[in-house]
Amino acid sequence: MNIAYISFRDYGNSFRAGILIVDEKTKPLEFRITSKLSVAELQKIIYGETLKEIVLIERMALELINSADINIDFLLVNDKKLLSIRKNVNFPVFYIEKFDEFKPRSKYSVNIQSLSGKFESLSLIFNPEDEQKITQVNKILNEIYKNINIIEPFNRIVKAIDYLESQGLDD
Amino acid sequence: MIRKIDFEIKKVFIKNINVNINPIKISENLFQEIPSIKDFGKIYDLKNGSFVYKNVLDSKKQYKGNTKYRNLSLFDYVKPLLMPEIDLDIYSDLYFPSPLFNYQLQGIKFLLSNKSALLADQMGTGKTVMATTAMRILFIKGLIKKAVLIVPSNLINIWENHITKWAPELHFITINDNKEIRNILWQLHGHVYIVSYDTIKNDFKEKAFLMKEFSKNLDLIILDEAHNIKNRETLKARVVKSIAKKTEFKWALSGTPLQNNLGEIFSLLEFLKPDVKKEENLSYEHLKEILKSIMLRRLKKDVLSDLPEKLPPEIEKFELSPIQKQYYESYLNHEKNRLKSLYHRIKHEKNFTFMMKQNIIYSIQKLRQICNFSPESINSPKADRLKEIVNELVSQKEKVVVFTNFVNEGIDKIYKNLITVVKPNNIVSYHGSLNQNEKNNAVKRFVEDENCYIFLGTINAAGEGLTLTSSSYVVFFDLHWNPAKMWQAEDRVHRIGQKNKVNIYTFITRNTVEEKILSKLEEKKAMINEIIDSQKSDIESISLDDLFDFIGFTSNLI
Repeated sequence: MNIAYISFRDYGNSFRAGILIVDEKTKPLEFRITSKLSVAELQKIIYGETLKEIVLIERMALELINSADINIDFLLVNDKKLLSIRKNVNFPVFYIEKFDEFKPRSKYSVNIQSLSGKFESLSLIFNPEDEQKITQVNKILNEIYKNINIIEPFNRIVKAIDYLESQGLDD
Repeated sequence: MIRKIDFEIKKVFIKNINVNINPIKISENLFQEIPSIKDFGKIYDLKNGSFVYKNVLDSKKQYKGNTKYRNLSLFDYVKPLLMPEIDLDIYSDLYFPSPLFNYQLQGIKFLLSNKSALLADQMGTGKTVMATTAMRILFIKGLIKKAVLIVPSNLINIWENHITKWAPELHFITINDNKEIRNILWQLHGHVYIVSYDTIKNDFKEKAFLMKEFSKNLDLIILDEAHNIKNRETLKARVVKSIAKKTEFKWALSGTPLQNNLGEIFSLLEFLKPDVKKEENLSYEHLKEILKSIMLRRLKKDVLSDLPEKLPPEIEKFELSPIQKQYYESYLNHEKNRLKSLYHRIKHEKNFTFMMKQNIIYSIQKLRQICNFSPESINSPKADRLKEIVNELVSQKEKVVVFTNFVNEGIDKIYKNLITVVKPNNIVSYHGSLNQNEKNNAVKRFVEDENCYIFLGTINAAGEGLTLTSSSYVVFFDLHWNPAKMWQAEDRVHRIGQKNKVNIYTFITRNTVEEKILSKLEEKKAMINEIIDSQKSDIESISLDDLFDFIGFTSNLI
């Protein structure tokens, strides 16, 4: 079972994203980052609210996914906008966030609980086309979540991007 | 008057503004297995930034080594950051090659929570594992990016093995090559640098600028056997402190931080807490207070319930002293020539194999003796280390059993060394030349006399049948051909009646027949089993080809 994580860094006028594919113990199998993508002020104005979506999905996430050598079983994202990647890929995409009991529950979401009590509860939001698969994925993630924090790999991507950035990564 | 007003709207130019967002590039797969620093056949050339240094070295006749080094790519460094974060509060065996004991977890937490820490657990409790794991966690968390381990030269291989096993995502560089190569090694990028006290001292003297550059972005220093800097006046101590000036994390490991006087602790404190430096007139109580906040010390008996019955043996590798090296090489050359001519003389004879074996064994035995001591000296790196161990254990009223294969180049010279650190009546010797009465008395005294701390015996004479359970420390000063013999010798201590857990230390010299014997024995498990199963007497069961290999040539080369 290979789980992919995509996360990105927003530097204001530029972005960089990374994909980390891990096994069921969240040990890394593949890691890629994009080059830094700069956006001009005028581009920001012209693209308006669609800017992030275009940058994140079309320019970065899809490119990252297409470049991966390892087969991906499903993708976890921590930005809801990325859920729409689903229409471009042939595996399920889930948006994962901390469970908030005051937030209205969507029809297309399930809870993930750390049965060992080590970590806080999460919500997994999915696309309607993945409704059939959600039970199985939920079971897998619950099992992993007993001992391993499944949202922690997002931090690794950001830490690694920051580290490479601090070392003067030359694009 | 009507003014003519130009009402025509000027023609505008359309500026072509590129609203397209530039395409991006995707990196290669950045997650790569970190290759070994020893990349045979290649060496990194700092000047040209490529792997061409080899040719330069090859042109220098004096360079005999074939170890080549490579630099890391930027992406190799990312590996620790991509690993699952380790949270000891929600401990899971998943992240460790074998489960950690509770007291070890406490030790790791202690190191992680103290930027200046003195881990002073008693010898044999696993300080190396604790420090390696704590360092690994800091790397994975992204809190440190560069660490140096300063260790006695004979413990370099132990640290290399520990990092390989306990922190596989960290890339280490061992700085123990010749001067020329060391110049490059100090400038290569790695996560962890392993260096001996003597090397760092010498390099600091000769390459001060390089060392200052190196220490600029150093995040962690670990001093193993930190009592090496107990004398604040020595260059060694001053160099270590100078390198540590800007380092955030400073950990000292020592089973005996205080050996003779309070001054020794001051020197360590200067390393760990430089702000205490000026307070020369520190009272004992104040010192105790400072130490309390940065020191963790547990004795073996305190953590007994956690420990396994018999801890895996620690193999310590030593360089031969210059004089030993000289003797070793000249004797090896002499014997190679002798064996070569013998080979041609007797190769068609009926008992060729037997005769050849006997002759090689004779040569190897002599070489093994030189690995202990050079013929005219009682000094050697092994002896120095043994004195250190004995000193440490005796100061804690622990008994120790020392095994060797030899009498003249073993028992006798070891004894002469030991009486420089303990009284003669603290030692008993046990070897084949003693009569049965003397042997019995030696064992009785070791077992019953609480002031008799050291049992010094040959493996052949003392390796079987005795019960020496009053000690829980065994040192093999040299290897025996037959691992079964060594296991039997270990079992003199590890047997019914042993109330403690047993620590075993084996001494080996680098680049010698001893190292070859060890690797051959490890490599050929089947051969070991054969020896054990058949209980054949040792060396006769080893093939002629293996014996040839021990002294550095194969039969088809002769």
